[in-house]
Amino acid sequence: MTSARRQRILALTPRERLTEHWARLGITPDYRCVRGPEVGMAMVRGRMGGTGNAFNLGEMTLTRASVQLTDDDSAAGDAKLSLGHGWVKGRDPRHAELIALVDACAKRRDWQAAIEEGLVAPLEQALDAERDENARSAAATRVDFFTMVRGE
Amino acid sequence: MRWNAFDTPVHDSQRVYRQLLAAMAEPGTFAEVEGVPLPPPEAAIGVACWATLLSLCDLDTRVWVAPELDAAGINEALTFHTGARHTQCPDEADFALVTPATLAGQGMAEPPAFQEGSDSYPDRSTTLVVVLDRLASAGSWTLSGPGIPGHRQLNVGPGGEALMTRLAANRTRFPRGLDAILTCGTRLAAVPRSTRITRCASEEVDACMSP
Repeated sequence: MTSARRQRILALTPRERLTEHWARLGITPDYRCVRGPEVGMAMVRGRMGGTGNAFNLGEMTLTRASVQLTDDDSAAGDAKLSLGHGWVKGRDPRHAELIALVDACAKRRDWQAAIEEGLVAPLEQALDAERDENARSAAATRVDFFTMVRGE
Repeated sequence: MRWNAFDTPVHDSQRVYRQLLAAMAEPGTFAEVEGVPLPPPEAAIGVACWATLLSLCDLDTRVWVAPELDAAGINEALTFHTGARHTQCPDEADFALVTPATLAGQGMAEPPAFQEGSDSYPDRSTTLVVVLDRLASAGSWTLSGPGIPGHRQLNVGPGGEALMTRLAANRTRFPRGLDAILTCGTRLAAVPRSTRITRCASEEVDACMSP
């Protein structure tokens, strides 16, 4: 699983659900925040039809955090490996911090598999199920417009 | 990340900024920067310099770092914490991190040419953040001008010749010129472009003190 895909799933999952699943894994390393959590603005850009010229859609609030694991393993290893970053839309510092912590732990070889299988995979399934459910309920109210052919 | 930012970014940067303002307003006075995170031990810069950079740099500033100060990943750390961009061209920089040896052109083809602004926009000049081995009063340089009642003396260590000569040359092109923030360990001082700098041997100091 790529880092971008993991970030997407963690950011789309509501914080309560993420906290609950994370607590079940029982990974509780010591860490400190090296930057943030801080709230800022990000410019959302779009392309008409996905292929046109880029335009600025508008600004949105964004919360970001970066944490570093501070246990013995990370002190011995490369500093970059123990850093994790998290971004989430809106203003939820605890959510961003938790994402950063999960990201930092997911770079550890001994926790990687547990996080992929025990946390990210179920969360992805839950997100997919919700999206399908939404799509179904929306589809049930679908209205097809058509014009009656006027009779002779 | 071995470089730490301020614990409370808003208050700490305001406090350091106030110290910088006071130092600029009264050239040659010293401020002791306290309560800010230490740079890593292998870094080439001190606490006051790191605090200055954290306070002044943001997304809109470009920073030029002298090759001899580029140690322990300072470029990455500065971008990570402040969002400041790096530039390879000294004349594009808003802030330049230098030593007196940089201004002497040591290890380079020629001394870096920093931006001095224009007569219409003298504010578009590079501000030097100088890393010194020694910064004290009672030295061989005499400062006078705005913000200084009479004279003040400054000691920038034995290698400071190139620095003070460069800053003294500011007077010839006023209002263009370079402002300098001098740092040494936890201590900082400032020499804006309006300050007159003259070399003053100790016996001459006594002479000019007694009318």
